[in-house]
Amino acid sequence: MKISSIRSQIVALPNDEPLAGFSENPNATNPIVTLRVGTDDGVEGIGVTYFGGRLTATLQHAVEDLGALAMGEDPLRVEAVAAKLAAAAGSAGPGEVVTMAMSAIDVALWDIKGKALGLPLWKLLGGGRDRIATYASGALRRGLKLEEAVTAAGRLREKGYRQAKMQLGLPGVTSPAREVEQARLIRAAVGPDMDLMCDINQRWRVEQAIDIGRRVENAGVGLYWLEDVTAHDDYPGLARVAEALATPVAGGEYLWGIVPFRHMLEARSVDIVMIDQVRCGGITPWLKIAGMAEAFNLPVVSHGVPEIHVHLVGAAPNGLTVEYMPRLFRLFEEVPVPRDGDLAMPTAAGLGLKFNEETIRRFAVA
Amino acid sequence: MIEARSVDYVMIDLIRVGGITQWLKVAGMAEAFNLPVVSHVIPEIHAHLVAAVPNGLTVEYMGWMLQLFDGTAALDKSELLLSDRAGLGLAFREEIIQRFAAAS
Repeated sequence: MKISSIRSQIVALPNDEPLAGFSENPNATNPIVTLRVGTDDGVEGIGVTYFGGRLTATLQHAVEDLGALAMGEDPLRVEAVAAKLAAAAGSAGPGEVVTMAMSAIDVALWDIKGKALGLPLWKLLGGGRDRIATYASGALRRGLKLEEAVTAAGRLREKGYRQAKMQLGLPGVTSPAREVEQARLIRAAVGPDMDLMCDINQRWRVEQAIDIGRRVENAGVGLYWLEDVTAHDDYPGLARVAEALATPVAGGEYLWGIVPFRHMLEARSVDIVMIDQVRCGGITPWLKIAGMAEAFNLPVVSHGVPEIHVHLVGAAPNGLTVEYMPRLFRLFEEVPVPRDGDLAMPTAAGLGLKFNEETIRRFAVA
Repeated sequence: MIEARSVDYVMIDLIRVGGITQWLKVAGMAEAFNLPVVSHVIPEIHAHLVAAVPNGLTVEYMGWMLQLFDGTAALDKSELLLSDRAGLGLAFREEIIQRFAAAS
């Protein structure tokens, strides 16, 4: 089998919030690079990449240029293709545009492999279980008004989610007391039984994380994890927070490739390893990181794209829960839907996803 | 062992590590620590694994079991050639099994 075509587009999806209905910024769009990799025997794989921001056109160019190098290669030899593409980027990376572009190609090659073998990806990758926990994400953002966030939290509970994530590190005038109050009111709205995660997105200093984290603990909020409490590459700083708090500390979504995870794990920076298939470079590195985390006796969770990550978290024996982030939902004909708080593993071959052509026609910008 | 910087080459034995699934996890971890991996015995199976991973260095060509299989990787100028046969690409040689079987 040989790679015979590469086609990418940029699709600017509306920044709506379908889980609870309150978007932080309903007029914004999220630009996504879509990729289709064709083969000489007719199997087509799809991939996506994003986080390009204002550089999304650059990201698309990188996907096209690296894709051109992959032409004629055997799509089943994922590592051989990755080695060729990495070498072609002038020894740049792992990092940023190179890695995010390689991720889209890696995902498309795994989709081809699954389709060629007639197996859904999660089975091809180990098949750890046939359903996996998932948590509502993106519905309780820090940019919402407090009343909106509390109303949204109640809606998530009514919809039957067993886990949900809120955010602290509030914008504007804030204080430790104000942060604790936000957490307390959202906990009250979701009820005592829901697992409640909380994302800081690197907005606290180390000593703030320890201080506010302890206050939240003392207020009895009961967080399932506290995420990205400070700068993502301050491994010893993260370790201080993890040591100081009883609440599990999660992190990893901002790391490029596999090597930074080694440093993070060796420093005992986190209790829960979050792996982003776009930033780490695709499914191939995702699995290596998950295996390393397993050797460190740590669970792994995903960041974004539940449509793809469901396979990975479900396949890994130390997979804990899938972030149910709806950002890309419109892009696909069908997406996994939780039942009783879990996602069932997809049954179709490969990723089990098809692009929604109507969405792409409507929102394509390049 | 890797955290303690005990070795420069990580040797992984698919029997003792618990099979191919675990072998690949250890190889991925070694890659994150910038270390090459090599295999321990059973070149018939390890050739697939060492060749598949980017940090695979060399395959121990231990001949213990060579006569047990048809389809072992061919040697060419001190390198093993991987085939396109499905799965392990190996078949037991039934006459060898009949001749040396010690328990059924």
